[in-house]
Amino acid sequence: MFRLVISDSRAWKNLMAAISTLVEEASFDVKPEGLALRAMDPSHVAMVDFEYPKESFQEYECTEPSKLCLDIGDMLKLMRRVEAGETLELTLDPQTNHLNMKLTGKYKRRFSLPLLQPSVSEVPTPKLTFDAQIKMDADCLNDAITDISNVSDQVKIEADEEKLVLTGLSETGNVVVEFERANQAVLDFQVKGEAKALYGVSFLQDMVKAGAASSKVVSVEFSTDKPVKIDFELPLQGKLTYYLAPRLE
Amino acid sequence: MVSLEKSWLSAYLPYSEEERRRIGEFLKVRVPSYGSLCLHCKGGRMLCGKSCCPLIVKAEKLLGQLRSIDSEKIQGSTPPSVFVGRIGYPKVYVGPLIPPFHGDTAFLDTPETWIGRGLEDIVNFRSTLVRGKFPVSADQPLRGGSLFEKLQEMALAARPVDAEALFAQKPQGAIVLSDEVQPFGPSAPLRAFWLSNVHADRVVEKCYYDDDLKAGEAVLQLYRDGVPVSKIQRCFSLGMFGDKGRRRVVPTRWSITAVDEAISLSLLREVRRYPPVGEYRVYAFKNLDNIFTAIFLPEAWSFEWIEAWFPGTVWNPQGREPELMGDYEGFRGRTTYADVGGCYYAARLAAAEALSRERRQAKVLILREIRNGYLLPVGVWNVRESVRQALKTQPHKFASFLEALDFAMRNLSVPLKAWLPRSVILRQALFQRKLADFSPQG
Repeated sequence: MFRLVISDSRAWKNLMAAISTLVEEASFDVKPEGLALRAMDPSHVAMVDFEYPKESFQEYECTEPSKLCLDIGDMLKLMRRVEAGETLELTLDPQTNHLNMKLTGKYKRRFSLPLLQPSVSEVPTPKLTFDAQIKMDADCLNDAITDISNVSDQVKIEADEEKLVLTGLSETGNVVVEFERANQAVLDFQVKGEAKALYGVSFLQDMVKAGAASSKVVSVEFSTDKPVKIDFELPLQGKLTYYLAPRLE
Repeated sequence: MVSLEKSWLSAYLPYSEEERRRIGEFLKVRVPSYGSLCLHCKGGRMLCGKSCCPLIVKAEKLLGQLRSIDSEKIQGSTPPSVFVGRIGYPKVYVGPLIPPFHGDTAFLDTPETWIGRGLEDIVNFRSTLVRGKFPVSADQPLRGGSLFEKLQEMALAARPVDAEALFAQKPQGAIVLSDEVQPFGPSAPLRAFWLSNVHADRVVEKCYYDDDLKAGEAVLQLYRDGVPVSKIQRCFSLGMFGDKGRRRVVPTRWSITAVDEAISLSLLREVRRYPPVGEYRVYAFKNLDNIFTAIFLPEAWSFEWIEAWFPGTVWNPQGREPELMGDYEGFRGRTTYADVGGCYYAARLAAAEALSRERRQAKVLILREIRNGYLLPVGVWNVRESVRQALKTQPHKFASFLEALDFAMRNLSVPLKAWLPRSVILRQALFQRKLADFSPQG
């Protein structure tokens, strides 16, 4: 038995879009305590770690743990015209092996989506320590990365005890965005010594753009030439975290 | 347009006084509006850097061909072969291609069998076919008239068809004074033509008469039934598939890429679900002074195609260094037309076929070096068939990317440092770390 109700279906759609930046097929772990997903993109360069505890849902029922595997692009297609304020109910139909989606707003709409065969792949969490941990306004980070994506396909992220600097270099031109620790977009700033690493801008842009739609606050954590962890704060212990492996110069 | 005898080309061609009178006026020489190096070179100074003059090669073939046609009528067995022009679209010229002799002529228009043939043969095949032409509206193939219906009937044939064509005038050959135009046989406006011995290909015929089957689905169905791509493409170009009201005539050049694209997309939908190949691989193949090198990486599907045109080849006549161009798509494919054009899709089809056969996926990088012996472009089939051939050879297998790359570069004369800035996959493989590199077990 599995059933859940979300009061703000628009928010749910944004979260699904955030997952779909990395994977086409999403395999959720359905557990009595909530919904979780951990997946790597096909090139194994980026990863998303998503948790949504049962408290985050308006109603949540799950009697036994299972896997829920679906084409997330198709789910988004069905949800394309979701309106703010509509309530979404998801239930599983074991007979037809479909996920039923019921949207209740001014009137009721019902969609159903076939479930896919879950592929077995364990995704390990990278073991990382971070020299730089910076909590900041998600929209500001999104703007900074969008600026850089206009000129370059990679972004250099540097932090020392004073500031965070994002740089894009290319033949077209150079973009440098600085966030000093006292800047009002910066909420928390902890850097040990220095940290510097290079990342592919398209992954970073997709992640930050999708995450910023769900959360106002993001924390960026990294060390020299190590993966960056991008963590979006969600209400009620919800978790939307990305990891992205660096490039070498 | 000037006649041949007034042009410098006549000096190179072995023809007699009598022939000059008889056929000279039917071989026209046209100067392209954008000017041409050939006018300064006149076949003698080798300005284009090729090993011999492509115009003289073309002119000789065409002349040989014109010798055997001396009236407004031609009889022969068509492979079957058709051509749909793209100039003036949506009002385009279509028509049959007929050689002036009978027999099993299928090879004349089956590029699938051309691997291993020299450039001379290929030019010969092209020049042999005499093209009749008449106008149709691309968007109204159902109102194409009786000539057009007959053309479709001919295209359906499973074997060469005996044909007789009546032209409005004696076919003329045209040589464009530019080394970047594909060889073509003589042509003339078509008045009428007659067919005998048409044996329709049952499988193709079924799709032709199915008014509800979508064009894309018809293409896939025929491909899975083993119909050669060149044949599917021929019928596709004559608007013979699809929902009855939505059939269109498609210029030959576009239809080739449309068919390559449709088939590879469908194969790739499956390939993306297969496990990756087990090792790094390098495949190599040479055809018509083109070097093809494919590198397979044991990762999720993505594809890149890069061509290096050597100085003196068609797209790089004046350069000192090889000119590189290419295009890339990631796991989810692409949404825009590839900058390099049709060869990208032809190569991708060959790669998708090989992976689908093996039920594996891979990250695929294909490099092509086009050297000076490639006198004139012969068509996109060269890429499709060469890559197909390359991927049927036994690959060299390696445990690491660097070993594979090192081996691949030994075959090529463009150095790694020239490929690197052009190649997304090379840069990814060399510089992009993976998350697993940072996991506890490494």
